[in-house]
Amino acid sequence: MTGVRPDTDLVPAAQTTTFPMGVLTRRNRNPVIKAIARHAVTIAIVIVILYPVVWMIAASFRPDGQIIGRLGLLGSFTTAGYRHGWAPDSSLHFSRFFLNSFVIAALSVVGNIFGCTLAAYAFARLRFPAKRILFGILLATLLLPYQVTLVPQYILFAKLHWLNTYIPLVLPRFLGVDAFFVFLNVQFIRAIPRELDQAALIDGCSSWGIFRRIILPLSLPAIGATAMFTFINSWNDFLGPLLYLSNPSKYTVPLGLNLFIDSTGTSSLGSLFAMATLSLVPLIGFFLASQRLLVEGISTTGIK
Amino acid sequence: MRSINALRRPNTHPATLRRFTIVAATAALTVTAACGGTGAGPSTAKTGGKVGGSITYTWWGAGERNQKTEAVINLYKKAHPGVKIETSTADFNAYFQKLGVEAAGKNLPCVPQMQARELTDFTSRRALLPLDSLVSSGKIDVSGMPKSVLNTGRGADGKLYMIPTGAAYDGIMYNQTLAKKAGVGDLPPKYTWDQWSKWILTAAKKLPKGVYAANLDGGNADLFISYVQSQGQQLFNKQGQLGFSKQTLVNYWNMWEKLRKAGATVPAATAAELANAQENQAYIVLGKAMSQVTPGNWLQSAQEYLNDNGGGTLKITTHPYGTKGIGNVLITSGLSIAANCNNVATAASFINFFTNDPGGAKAFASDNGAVTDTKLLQSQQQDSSTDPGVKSSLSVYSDIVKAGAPVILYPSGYTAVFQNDFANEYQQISFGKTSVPAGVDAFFKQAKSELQQ
Repeated sequence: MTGVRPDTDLVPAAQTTTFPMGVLTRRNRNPVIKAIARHAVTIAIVIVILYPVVWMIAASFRPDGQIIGRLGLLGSFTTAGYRHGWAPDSSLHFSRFFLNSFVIAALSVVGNIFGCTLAAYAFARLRFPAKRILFGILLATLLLPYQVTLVPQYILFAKLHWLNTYIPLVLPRFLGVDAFFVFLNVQFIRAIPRELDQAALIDGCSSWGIFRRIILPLSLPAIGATAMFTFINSWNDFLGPLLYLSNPSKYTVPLGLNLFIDSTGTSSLGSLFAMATLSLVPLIGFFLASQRLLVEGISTTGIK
Repeated sequence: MRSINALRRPNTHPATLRRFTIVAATAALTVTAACGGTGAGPSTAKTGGKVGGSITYTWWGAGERNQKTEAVINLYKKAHPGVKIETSTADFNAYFQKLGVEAAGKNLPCVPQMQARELTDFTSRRALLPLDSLVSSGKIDVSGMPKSVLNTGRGADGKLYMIPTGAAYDGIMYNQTLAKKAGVGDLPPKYTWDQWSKWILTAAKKLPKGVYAANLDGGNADLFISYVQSQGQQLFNKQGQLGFSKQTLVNYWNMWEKLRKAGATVPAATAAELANAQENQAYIVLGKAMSQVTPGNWLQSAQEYLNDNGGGTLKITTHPYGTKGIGNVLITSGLSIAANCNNVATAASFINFFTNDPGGAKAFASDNGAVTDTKLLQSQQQDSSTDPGVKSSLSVYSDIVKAGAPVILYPSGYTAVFQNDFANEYQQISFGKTSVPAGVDAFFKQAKSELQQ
């Protein structure tokens, strides 16, 4: 029996001398090939995603006649789009639209952070009657297409004589009506250990104190996300300003961009792309700032 | 920027946004109807009062049209010192999206620009003021306007809700140079549908490779409307449903399929790509198609684009004639007064100015369709400063009016049925996904459920 063992042992021994070598060489080669392949695919995807943006920037420096129908980036160089686009009319100026958009977006961010974090804190931590039902109703509003509430909202704001003001665009944000952000914050606050609240309670904190001293600082990543998405949504919003703002001096950037388009006439594409390029700058800036906030939030709190 | 053209009219190949506009506007108006209950209709007693105070005037357009409109407003304000006009503008789709919601909130601007095809959506909900009393009292003068043009501003109840200020039309644009090369020459005056399809088939055999005799316009509703009307049939009956027979549409789409299968038109896949293309991507201006159905006002800018793409001379003419004459309809836009307007006297005075003032008409230069007042039209045609392309468009407009362009009352749902369903069904047919009779059946079924008076 023992004489058999060496035979059987020999086979694995032979395998250990040849097979691992093969594996080793494959391991050496494969990661490189895999990495190259992975990077090639990633770069290809990045190009596909970024090309339209690069194309838009290139188009903003081309004359109107050289924009549509060209996939390439090259053509005559002109800054006319920027010069004409910045002041589409003698009485209109894009700096005004940028300021208007910025005011609305900043107030929306403040409003959403205020309304949504407070509502989220209440749903996540406080006890009050019909909490579950109210939370269910809040979540159900996520299912409502905005077209359904568009007209009643308009009539409401018209009756309140708030048309042609920024109030319809900003005030609702302070009331925590954005169910998505409330839900986001609720989920985040639920992940914060309750023991921290209890410790604060023992130290004499009220509910407001717990919110201000414990929950708020620990929710920075969620607040960062709320701020970032609110800013982007508000900055890009077209329909809201279209419905509620009539006076061109109150227009936002998307409404200003719409002044260049006319499906029944000739569009000023050079100016459109030039101003669209500029309109991306605040978005990118805010995104970078919020991204830092997000990362800082994670690193300082250690909470994911 | 390329110079803007006259007689502009909305895109006949709407994008998704267009569909949304209809949904939003219809939803908006439906909600008002539901909530409004038996609310009183617009008051006709508000037509008195003096010209003064302020009004809101809104229109669709961009760039040059906005500047021209502002010029007219300034002329009006100069003639009526003390009147304040608040203005607002947006792209056509966004404009009607906003107007639909405003109508639902009974908060329309005092003077909204309207289009005949959109009128029923607003008149059926009593959002606009009937203007007949203002016309009969002389506050709005329409005596210089052809009756057939004026009647396009009437609602289903026969009352006048819009004073047409610009009349656009669709025509056949063709490359005269290519037609000559192909040995078919110009389309004769009052040419028939048979002559037209033979003209295309004959040219197709002699055109260079990669150049098609016609764009694939079987899904273009405007051409089909001309086909129906020129056969003496009605597009809509009194109930607001389709007024033509299924056989008419079968014949029409068979005619297109014959052209397509003979290789005389651009292929179906290319046509689908071009459906929502910008004007400067159209095959006719790229020199890749000899003819195409286009708005009459494209001529000037299309010629400029074609010059950049190898050249040739473009020409615009009416749609083909049928057994009962011309089928071309006028697509008018004009000015209305909102039912909720509280300064009707000034609104009427402004509309009257926009319609009749020679200085205003010169400043606006038929930017949104040929000026509807006959004398003003003639003076623009004779004016040496008018662009030759614009003059040519105005002259075809005059021909259409003289030939007796039929007036169509567009029911609610027109846009969804004819700008979307019609094109979609023909696309199914041209891709070989369905047969012509089956496509026609499907179209009639959809139209029945979507059309309402």
